[in-house]
Amino acid sequence: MATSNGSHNGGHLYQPQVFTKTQREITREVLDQTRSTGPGYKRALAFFGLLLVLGIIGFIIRATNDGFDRFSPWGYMMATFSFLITAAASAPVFSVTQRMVRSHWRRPMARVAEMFAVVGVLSTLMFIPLLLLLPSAEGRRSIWFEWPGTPFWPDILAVVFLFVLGIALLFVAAVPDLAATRDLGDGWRQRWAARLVPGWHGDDRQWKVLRAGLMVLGALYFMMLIYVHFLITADFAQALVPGWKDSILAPYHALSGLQSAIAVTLVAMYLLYRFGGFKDYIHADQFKSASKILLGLSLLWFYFWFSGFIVYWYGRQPVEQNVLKTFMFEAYRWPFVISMVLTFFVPVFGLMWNFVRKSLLGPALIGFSILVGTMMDRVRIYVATFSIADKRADALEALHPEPLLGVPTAQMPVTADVMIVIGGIGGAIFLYLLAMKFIPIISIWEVSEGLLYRKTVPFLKRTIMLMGKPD
Amino acid sequence: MASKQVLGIFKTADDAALATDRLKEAGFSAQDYQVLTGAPYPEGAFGEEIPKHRLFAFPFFGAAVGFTVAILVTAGTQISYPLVTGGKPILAIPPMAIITYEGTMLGAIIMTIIGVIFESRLPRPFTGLYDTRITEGYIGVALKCPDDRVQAADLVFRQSGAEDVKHEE
Repeated sequence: MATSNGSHNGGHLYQPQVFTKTQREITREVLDQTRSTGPGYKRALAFFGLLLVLGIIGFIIRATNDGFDRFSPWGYMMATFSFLITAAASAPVFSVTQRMVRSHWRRPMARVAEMFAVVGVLSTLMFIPLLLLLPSAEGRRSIWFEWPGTPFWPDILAVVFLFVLGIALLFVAAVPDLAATRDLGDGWRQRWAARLVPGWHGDDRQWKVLRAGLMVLGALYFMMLIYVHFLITADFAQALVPGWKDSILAPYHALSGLQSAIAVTLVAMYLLYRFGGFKDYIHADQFKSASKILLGLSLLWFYFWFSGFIVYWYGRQPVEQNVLKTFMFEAYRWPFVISMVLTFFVPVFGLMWNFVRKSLLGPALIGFSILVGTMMDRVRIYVATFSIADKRADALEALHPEPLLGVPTAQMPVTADVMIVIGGIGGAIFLYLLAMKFIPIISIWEVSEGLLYRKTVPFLKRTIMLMGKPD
Repeated sequence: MASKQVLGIFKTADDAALATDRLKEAGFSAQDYQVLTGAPYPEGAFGEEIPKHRLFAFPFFGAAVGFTVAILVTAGTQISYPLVTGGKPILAIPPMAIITYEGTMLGAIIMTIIGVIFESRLPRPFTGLYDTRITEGYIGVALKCPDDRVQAADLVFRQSGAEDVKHEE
């Protein structure tokens, strides 16, 4: 038994995770798992790689048939891009915040969350053709005041730098584990790691700089992420719909990102537990603790959505009614209803129960529900926006002389859209699976550090976890 | 006199802490040795000198440069091409704040990445003695000492329970 989980107490008393493995065992086992590419892994890689290829074909079909002159053909691609930014690009923030508050339960899940930074390759590539759709800020209402080169340069720089920052965060956090691969690995992984971290020996200075670097990079990542949410909602949603002036949309989008960050990490953790060979490392401790934060964020999600909604509902101007009808109650009613149920009701009424939070499957299923709900939410926001922007392309050039006077019909996905959506999501999973074989998915040094601070001690007629806090 | 490195490899942290005490008793100072570990121990756990770094200065410097450049770009553009937009002042702070924020962030990000590399002294291809057992949980105490004190250092390490002692050739 690798971890003490309270089974000595009749299996009824919950105890936080305490590793009983040595650092040597942890290092060897995690590196072995990183090396191993069993048939299940290869099948999954091939499957998601195929989905990525399908997505690329869908993109080529769209580009060939529709070009980049109209918005509406690209609504589902925008929704997929936004979903990847919301779920994958936000995931490292979960690890960053837990590291900042020095929670110990997060150790096995830190890398699982940070690894989602690699999905930035795909989202950045998807963003470039979407930028081609945007008209210049000149002569239309936007956040840019007609500056030369806007909105293109600020938008692409923000997305690229978010990706670079995510990779920097992942790399810095992985340096000690890459050094372990360099010292104990073999083959191309060993050579690759030796080139990346030739001078890491784990001296006092290196550890100190590593910790400080992770704090600074993490804080900057968070600041950049909310900025990207702001830009996307401003340039690809509100600026394209005349009369849509919702000051809470960007915070709502960012909060949804934080909620999805935990959701996607929980799903990944469960899959690693079930199929990844990490049963000794992943424990109810992570699911229980993350579920409490997820419950709070799900309640906040409703609060943010309601704050935006109630202003329009009370306003009752024709344009405000049309915005509500378009995005929530008529044209895109079903994506909205599904999103509300899966992103708010399912997590709140599921995670309020202690037995659900303490399980592994419960939070993972609720995480999956949140991800589907978030995708539906992005569909209702961006597919609707792109269909409105399309019909009013002339108005965009003329400072939106009229508000939104009608409600568009919902745009259903065609085959190419479905291919782009599953290709985008499948491609993200493909990249993640690939990255797992380059960088250990469990942070060896953080789990090993945890060995120093936690142990199980007898206490009267049971055992309890004793935890040290060095600072 | 030329100096050489001696690396004591300890199975337990207690033995490594004992070795650093004995090194001090033998006349070596805390600046002479470094503790190498596969996981971060609390600062000062081995009685070693707590290293100082200037990493936090890097993002501030980058942010200041980015902020200044962004202000110059936004203000300069608007003064050069004074277009009144939406009845707002030529130098309107809210829209300038968006680009200024991005410029500040970009400067801070670039300098932080440079700072982490510089302050970690990476890449460092010639780093002296190391043993891969440290990666698996052993503790290394790397001492830099004059040639004539290598044997004394070796003895201190062995008496403190070192499982192995390596000398720089």
